[in-house]
Amino acid sequence: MSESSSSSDLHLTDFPDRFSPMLVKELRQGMRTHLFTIAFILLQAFMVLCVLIGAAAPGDASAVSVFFWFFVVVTLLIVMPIRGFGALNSEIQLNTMDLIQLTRLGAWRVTFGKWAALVAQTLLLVCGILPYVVMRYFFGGIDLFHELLRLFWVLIVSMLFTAVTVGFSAFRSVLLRATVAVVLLILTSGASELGRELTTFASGKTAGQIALGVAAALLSAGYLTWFMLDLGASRIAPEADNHATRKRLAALGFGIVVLLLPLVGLEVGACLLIAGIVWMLVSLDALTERPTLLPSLLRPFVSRWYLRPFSLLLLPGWPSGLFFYLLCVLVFAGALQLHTGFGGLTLRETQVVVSGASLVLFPLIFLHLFFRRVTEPASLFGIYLLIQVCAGVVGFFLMIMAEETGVGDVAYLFAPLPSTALFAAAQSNEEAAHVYAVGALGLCAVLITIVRGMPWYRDVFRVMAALKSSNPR
Amino acid sequence: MNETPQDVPQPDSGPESASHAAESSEASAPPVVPAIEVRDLHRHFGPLKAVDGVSFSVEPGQVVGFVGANGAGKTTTMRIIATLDYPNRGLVKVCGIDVVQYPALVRGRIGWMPDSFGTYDNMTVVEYLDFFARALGFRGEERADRVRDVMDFTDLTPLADRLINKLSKGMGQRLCLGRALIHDPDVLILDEPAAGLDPKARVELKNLIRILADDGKTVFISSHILSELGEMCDSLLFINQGRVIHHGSAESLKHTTSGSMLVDVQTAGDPEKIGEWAEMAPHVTLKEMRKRGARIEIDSIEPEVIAGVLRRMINDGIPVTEFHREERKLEDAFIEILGEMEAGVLGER
Repeated sequence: MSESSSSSDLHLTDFPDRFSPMLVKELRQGMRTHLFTIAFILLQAFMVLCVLIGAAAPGDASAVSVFFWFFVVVTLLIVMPIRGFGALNSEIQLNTMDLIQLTRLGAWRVTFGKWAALVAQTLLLVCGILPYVVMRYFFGGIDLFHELLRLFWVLIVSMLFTAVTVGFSAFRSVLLRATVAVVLLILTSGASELGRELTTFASGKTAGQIALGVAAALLSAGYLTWFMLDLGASRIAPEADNHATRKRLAALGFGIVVLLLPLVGLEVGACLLIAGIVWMLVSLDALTERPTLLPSLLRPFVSRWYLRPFSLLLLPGWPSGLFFYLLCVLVFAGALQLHTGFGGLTLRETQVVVSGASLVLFPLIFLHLFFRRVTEPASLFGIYLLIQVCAGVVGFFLMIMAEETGVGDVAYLFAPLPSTALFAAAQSNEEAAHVYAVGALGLCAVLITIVRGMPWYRDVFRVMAALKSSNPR
Repeated sequence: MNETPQDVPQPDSGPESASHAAESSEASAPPVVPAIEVRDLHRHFGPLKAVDGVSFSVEPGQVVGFVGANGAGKTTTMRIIATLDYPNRGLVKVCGIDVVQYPALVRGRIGWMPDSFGTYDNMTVVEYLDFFARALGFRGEERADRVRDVMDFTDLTPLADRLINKLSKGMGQRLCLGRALIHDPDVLILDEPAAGLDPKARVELKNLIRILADDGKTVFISSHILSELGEMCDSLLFINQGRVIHHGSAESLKHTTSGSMLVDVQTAGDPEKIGEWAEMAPHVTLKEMRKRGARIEIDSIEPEVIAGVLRRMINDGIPVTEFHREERKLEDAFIEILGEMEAGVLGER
């Protein structure tokens, strides 16, 4: 080694050692991209325009506000998150994942680094916006605190959206990524409604309830961000990496905490909805995971006798994903009972729970009967989502038809479809026959999945026995 | 449905066992731990048996060529050795460390160069190497030293600030080799490193590999260009349909044809004469007609028989101007071994 060697002459001192290598790489690359540069310049130009208009008509900020927030929302909730779709996908396409896998960077650090770099660039844009917010305040007509608060929430949602796109960038299906993009666009178009909700949230509430509500919202955003990133990480990780166990345990823990929040004053409906969505998301992932059975994955479950049954809930793969999902349904039903004072569920509530549970299960019938040769997890996930989207669209239009024509029977014809039954229950068109039909469909899905998973269950016991005998403790 | 790689757990073979071996070796003759050891390796993708019972070992410091047709199982075997894939059955160790049980330890000992790799956009040569140096855990000046050393070794220093998607294929391969060397690994696994390179870049790459081999590194290299492998490899490993069909030195392949010898004969007159003569002469088989003579095979390596053939040729009026032993082409050897295997003569050597 030469004595005179230093990192400065190689231009390697731009980022400190403590930064994640992936973050450094992505920042170096990302800040040179045309998209970031153009977004930055355009946003600055629009901000200058907004301020000039505000200066021309001081005190009347409403028209300028619409333009201002339009540009901010488009940049932070559409342009920057959309870049996440290329994050992991580019590594997969370039065949560079293998090279990264041979370093000390695990799948999680890779995914997190890519997300962090995109968020850092978004923060840079937000820092560029801040002076214009202050100037608009100077010209009058705006509430600075509310503007900054709104910007904060937009940033939080942007971080979450970026996590969604980075997570889904691990999937090769263009159709799947396009569907996610459309969903994000729809959510973004509802951003103004969300903003209004968030700014009026505090009215009529105590300081404790506000703090709890904000904490719950931040916790939910944080959990969903983590979940989406781990979804991507688990898809690029080697088979020997077990992401399923921690993902399922975290979802279970998070859901239980949220379900207990009504005991300290938060709305029951909102908490049930959040827990339900989180468990549906994690189950969707669990029910389409590749069944893997490496001894290294089973070893932690073999070490203690009481851990062995948990392998059927927490090992990676859809056969265990099914039992995990059934556990979530049980806990959810239990929480519902708890919050209704154990007085039993009404027919409507029962229809919501049963059709909600069957909604997640029914695509498994198609997957295990008609797509048996599909083993690639990304494909399974994509097919599952497409079935759900189709069923959701059918259910939605049937309910619109039923509502517009006043003939509810149109929807009843398709009541066994869980999405239709769920919409029907939401519109107070509940019927016991629907509950039985949807329940039977869900049960069919469970039985078919168990039958298809039998070889895997057998293998679990076989490998466990082999591990136990090789390492008796 | 599901795959069950490594059905039977293997509790032995950790770094501990390697160190125990090292300790016990002080008393007796030191046992050489193979740089790469593959035993009864199987890897199936559904019904396809990509690797079907491969066994071999590579001693430290050796350069071993891995040869086979497309789809023979080369890349799958190399990926398993490089901890990028898992075997369904069998044992693979690198420097005595089990690749399935201790992949992280193995990764510290190997440098992997895939057959194709993409280049990042908006990234310079030095940033690319710096990224991998950071990702391998190097910090501060040590990181800069590593980057500088591999850039010097691969002659990339003048290109340090060039964007890597602007590099030529040959420069890209040098960069890829440099990346594989950042952590100074003991074993290099190179999958088709010369594919698509022009002759100059190929020679440069060959020289770099030779330097690495002289430096004591074990190099396990696959290629379709057998003549190049023959020049730089200590031994060659032929694989076909997931099975090893030959493992031996290039020299032995070049010279041995089951007790026969190839001879290039050049004549002054009509070359047809030597062709006609070869068809009549004992101990001789005509292999190929050439512009100024022919390539014949003498069915013995006994000097008396060879001298007898030459004497008879002259006595029969063939105007011989040159008569010399010809090395068998490695391609011919490979095809011959393949043919023998297919005919069921050879089985598994």
